[in-house]
Amino acid sequence: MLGLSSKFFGAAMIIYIIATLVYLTYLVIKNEKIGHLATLTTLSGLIIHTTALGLRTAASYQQGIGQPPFTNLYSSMVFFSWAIILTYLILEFKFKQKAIGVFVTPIAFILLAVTTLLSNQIEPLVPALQSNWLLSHVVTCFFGYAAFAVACGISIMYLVRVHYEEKGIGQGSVLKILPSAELLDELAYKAIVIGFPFLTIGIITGAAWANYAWGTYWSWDPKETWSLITWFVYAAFLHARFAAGWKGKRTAILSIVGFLFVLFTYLGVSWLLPGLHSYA
Amino acid sequence: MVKKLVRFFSSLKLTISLLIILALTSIIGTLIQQQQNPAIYVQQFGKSTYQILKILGFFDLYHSWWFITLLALLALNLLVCSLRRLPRDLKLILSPKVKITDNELKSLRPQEKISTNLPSVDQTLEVVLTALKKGGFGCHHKVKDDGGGWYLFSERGKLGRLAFHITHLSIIIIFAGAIIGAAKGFKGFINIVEGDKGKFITLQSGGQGTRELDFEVECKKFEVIYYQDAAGNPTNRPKDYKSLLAIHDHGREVLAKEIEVNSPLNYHGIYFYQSSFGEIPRLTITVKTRQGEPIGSFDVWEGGSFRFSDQNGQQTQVTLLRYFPDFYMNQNGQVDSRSNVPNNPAAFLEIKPANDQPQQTWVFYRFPDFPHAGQTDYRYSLTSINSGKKFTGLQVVRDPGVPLVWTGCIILIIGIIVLFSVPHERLWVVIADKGSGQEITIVGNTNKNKLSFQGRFTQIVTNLKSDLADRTK
Repeated sequence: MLGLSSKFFGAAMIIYIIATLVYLTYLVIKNEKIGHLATLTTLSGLIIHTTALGLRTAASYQQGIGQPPFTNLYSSMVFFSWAIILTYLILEFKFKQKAIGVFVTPIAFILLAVTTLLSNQIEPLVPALQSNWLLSHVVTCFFGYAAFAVACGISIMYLVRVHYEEKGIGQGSVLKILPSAELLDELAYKAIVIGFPFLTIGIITGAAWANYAWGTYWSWDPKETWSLITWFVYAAFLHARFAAGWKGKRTAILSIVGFLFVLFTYLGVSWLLPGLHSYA
Repeated sequence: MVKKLVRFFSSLKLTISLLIILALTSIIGTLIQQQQNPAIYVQQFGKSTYQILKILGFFDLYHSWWFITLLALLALNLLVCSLRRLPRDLKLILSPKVKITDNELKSLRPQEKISTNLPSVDQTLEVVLTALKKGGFGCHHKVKDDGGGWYLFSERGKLGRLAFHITHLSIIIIFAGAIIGAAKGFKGFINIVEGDKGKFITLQSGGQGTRELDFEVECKKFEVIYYQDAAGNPTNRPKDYKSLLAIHDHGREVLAKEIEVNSPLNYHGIYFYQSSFGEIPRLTITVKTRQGEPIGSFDVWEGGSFRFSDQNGQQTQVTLLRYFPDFYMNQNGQVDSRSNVPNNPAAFLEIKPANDQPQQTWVFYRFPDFPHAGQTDYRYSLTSINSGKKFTGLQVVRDPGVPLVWTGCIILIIGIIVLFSVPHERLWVVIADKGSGQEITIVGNTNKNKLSFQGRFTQIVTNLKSDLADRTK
């Protein structure tokens, strides 16, 4: 079952890269039918991806571990990739903007590609991880991360577009393909507005769990601290954008910096800094 | 002066600056391992750098005076900012201005003017109200104008106006909980051998040294379950470990519960968490007379004692005060154990003859001839180290601030969600009677999501126009 799930992850990976190409074609020739095809391709990737996650969970139960497998790099990456695609499709549906797909589907593809280099084995959980908090903590954190990833992709598009606008070039190419700067700015903000409550709930469920397992809701462990740092950065973004009326380049850069912090919280801390989360 | 201070402490620039400074300084604390032994830092950074970093508080950054000051400033910032805006926001919600001035009518955006030639003001009013309702603006106040026209006001998402205050308040509540926890709580650990009782907690925070509980904790049973490999044999990866604990209050067993990781025991607000386990070794101490005649060999645990008597029936009591499996002197000249591996086992004994002062001495497994401190009548030696009793390691915590912290967290989640998903949208409609027909001015305002509000506004205006056109046909 584990082997089958890996094959499904591989299939989803290939579908996502195909989706990238279809989105690109859509942007260049602006044919609505191709746009629908791009969405359908991504959706079919998501369905296969979901099936693979289901199979992997079933395999975990079969092994007697009895928890959704979220506790090593492999599992978290396949889940992260899944959350990014799901978040993107929801945004696409809500805001009817397909252009972002061309930046988001490759992120999901790269994440899945990295997992092919990792062991797909499901490790037994140390006692501290056997908790009902695990699921809510991991799911909320990764949906937050996913929304921030989408925001980062949009902010990069924004900067690219503004760069071309300022230089006065690309009228027939880049500027024709990318949505307007104002819309990109708004969409990045929307994605962060979705991500922020998830990150908040993720940090709080983590604290609740730590309190239940160790009697301390906050111990300034590097992972905790970095998630809080990320929270500070996005809180600053929201205050700047929402209340101080910052727009454009400054907030786009803050959004990209924020996602770099997310990546460090997710990957950097586990590899470089010792602490309670060293297993994940 | 006061005004200036209030403006400074409620400024958004301060909020953004504080958030970014907190983010950047927090990074330092993750790069330098916190709360380590000074000797480790000196080794890592050198003496002079160590002194500078110590003054900056970098070794316990998150509890340093300046980091706490930053957090306090953030709290003050949130509080002042909220208090400054609260009266205005409450007024907006509780007594909305229905009859707006001409100036406001001109300046508010989005806005739209529609002329109609319906025969009566009341008909127009009816059409307008229906259009508003269709557009989701149900709740309305209306005031009749002296000139025979109408002032209408309709709003949705009042809660969205308060979410700002709710969110900021929740952070203050979390801080309050953390302060109460730091002031009134404690955290420590206790190791209890299976079958034993204990009441002295070695404190890690909330005081120094040990703390005596008002009751005793007994470990009735301790058990480790290991994962099995594919062949069904146990591996060395623990799947679970659990202790059957009992609380003895005033000599009476009042509570018994099996605890495991993620499932603590609570007695009078003091929580016992399963945090570790281990084994204390059983040592054999051999006693001989100074002339080398054997008296006997005795098994003893750390903290335990044994007695023997001489020919005259005089008893001597020996207590094993400390045991170090890997004895060494650290940089501060203090005795310590380098590891848990018995590389250089050493025992620290207290010897109390029946009618004499107690004396303390070291005995070493590898150096049986090491001379005893002081004058003793007997020779003691550490002759064997055996695996001994299992003990359970419990984290003991009392934190009266926790309920407040969770309250704050729940309010924070609700606050943030409402803050970003519920805009406070307001619409004013002025119907002016022009004798032969009316002029309708419709203006709106929202505190967020201008784009989607604009869409809704345009929808309402379009509907209104077509409804009016239908009526005048």
